[in-house]
Amino acid sequence: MKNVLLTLLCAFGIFTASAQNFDYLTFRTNAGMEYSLPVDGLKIVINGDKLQVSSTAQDLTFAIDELGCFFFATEPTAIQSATADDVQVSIVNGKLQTNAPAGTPIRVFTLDGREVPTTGLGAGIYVIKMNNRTFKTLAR
Amino acid sequence: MKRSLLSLAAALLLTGAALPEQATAQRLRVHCGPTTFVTSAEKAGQMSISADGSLLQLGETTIATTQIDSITVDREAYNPLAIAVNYSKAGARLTVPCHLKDKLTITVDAGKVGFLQATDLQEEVTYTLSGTSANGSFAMDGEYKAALVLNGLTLTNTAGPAIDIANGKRINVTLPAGTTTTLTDGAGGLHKACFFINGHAEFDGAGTLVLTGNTKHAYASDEYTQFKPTFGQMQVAKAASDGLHIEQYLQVQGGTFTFANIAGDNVDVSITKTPTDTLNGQVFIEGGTLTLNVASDDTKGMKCDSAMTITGGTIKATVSGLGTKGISVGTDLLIAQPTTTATLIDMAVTGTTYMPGDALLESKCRGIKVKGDFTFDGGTIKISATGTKSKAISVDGDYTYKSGSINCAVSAANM
Repeated sequence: MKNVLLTLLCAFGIFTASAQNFDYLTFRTNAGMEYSLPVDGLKIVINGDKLQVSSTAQDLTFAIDELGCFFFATEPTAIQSATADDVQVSIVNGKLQTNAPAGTPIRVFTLDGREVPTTGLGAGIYVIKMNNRTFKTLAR
Repeated sequence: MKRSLLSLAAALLLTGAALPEQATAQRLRVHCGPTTFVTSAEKAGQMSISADGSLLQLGETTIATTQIDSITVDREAYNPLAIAVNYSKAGARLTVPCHLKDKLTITVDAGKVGFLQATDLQEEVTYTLSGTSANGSFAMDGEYKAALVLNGLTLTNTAGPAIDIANGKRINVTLPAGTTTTLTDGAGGLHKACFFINGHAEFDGAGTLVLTGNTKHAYASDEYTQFKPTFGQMQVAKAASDGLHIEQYLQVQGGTFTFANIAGDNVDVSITKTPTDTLNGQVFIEGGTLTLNVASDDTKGMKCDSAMTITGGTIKATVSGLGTKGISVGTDLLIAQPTTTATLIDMAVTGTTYMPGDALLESKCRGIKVKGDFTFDGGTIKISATGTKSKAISVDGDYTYKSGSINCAVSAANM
């Protein structure tokens, strides 16, 4: 009887766990940057060539021709660009690109802590440090 | 081990039955004017917008961005075959699953809503109607069976039918318990009924349906209509012609039916244009209660072109108009009580003769009029006929008594 009950509980556990809650919408740009916003209260408006997203967390605007796709996610992405305000960072064709002012000290590290140049970057995730701020960016 | 495997199989079956498509907890809602297209978070997949910004791709569905007002997310359960129409003063608002978008032609004009299902839509879609409109309607056509849920809807169409289902297949109509749906049409129209179903209709649900037919019939179906044992209540408040006008056959297994202000017959069941149609022109009363009010001259409470079989339920009738008939049977009548469901016929016939002396039009008042044979084999018949020259039961053919309780005379060619 005990085994029967345990088996039943496991089966119910498996199936109830599969009823996932997709609490985030993640927006991925063509440059590989991702932004996750909570779905509750989220609203998307297409305004000409812009996709405007408002949420309880923040508001974002994407140029439609730079937006790759968006999808539901159970967790927020761990890869985000630093577009919370005016700084943008991305890696395109192996080269670090940023709108930080010229001359801003920038250091690029691999995930295992090795510092690498800002060019010739292969596919993978890099940590960028500038102006006492740290960003993660994906190079495709 | 064997017991554990059996338990696991049982649990898998149970959870599989309990957790269908609704397992996903979010819906993406794409708002396009009065219509919102919805999809589940899982079905949405990787959504994208075309490079020129003209198209939104959601799974297999494409929506022109020029049609999109906004996109939101809710946590309602997703049903891929459920369409909702909610009426209000501001007009009708529709919720449609994305994957049905290209299989439907949707028309919305304020409170007037129409759905045309494409021929390749081969799944049963359920349309749930709710809300209130003083000038609205619902129309649906298609070539696959469908379901209609009337969820406390109040719909008046001043210029046509309230509900018009041109779909000629099986239409299941559900009235959820605790709800009252009121349908009213406009006068002077060309339509057949306030609530019309071209195909065959099956009614269930313990709710209430109130019908007013100002142009012609209150309800009409061009094929059979069935009222299931679970059916609640139908109130025909008014009909410019018949209360219920049904072709092919009528089967009542449950429900309560009342009629008032009926200019024609309370219930008229006629044969179809195809004489070989199943049970053509017949009536089957197996349960429920019909309270007939036959006040308009030269009309019938319940009339059928062919045979009538009453094997359960209650038929009460006040037969007061001139030349009226409580029950009028085109061929043979059988009244019996083969099950535990009691059969009761209870009538008060007070009407007199319609057009007395007229060779063509004279019609006397009868409780029950049978053009063929009448067999009574169980149940209770109580008819008082007090109108001048009225009769309780008149049979053109043979009358056969087998069992049951009857308190009135039967006038028949052969007893």
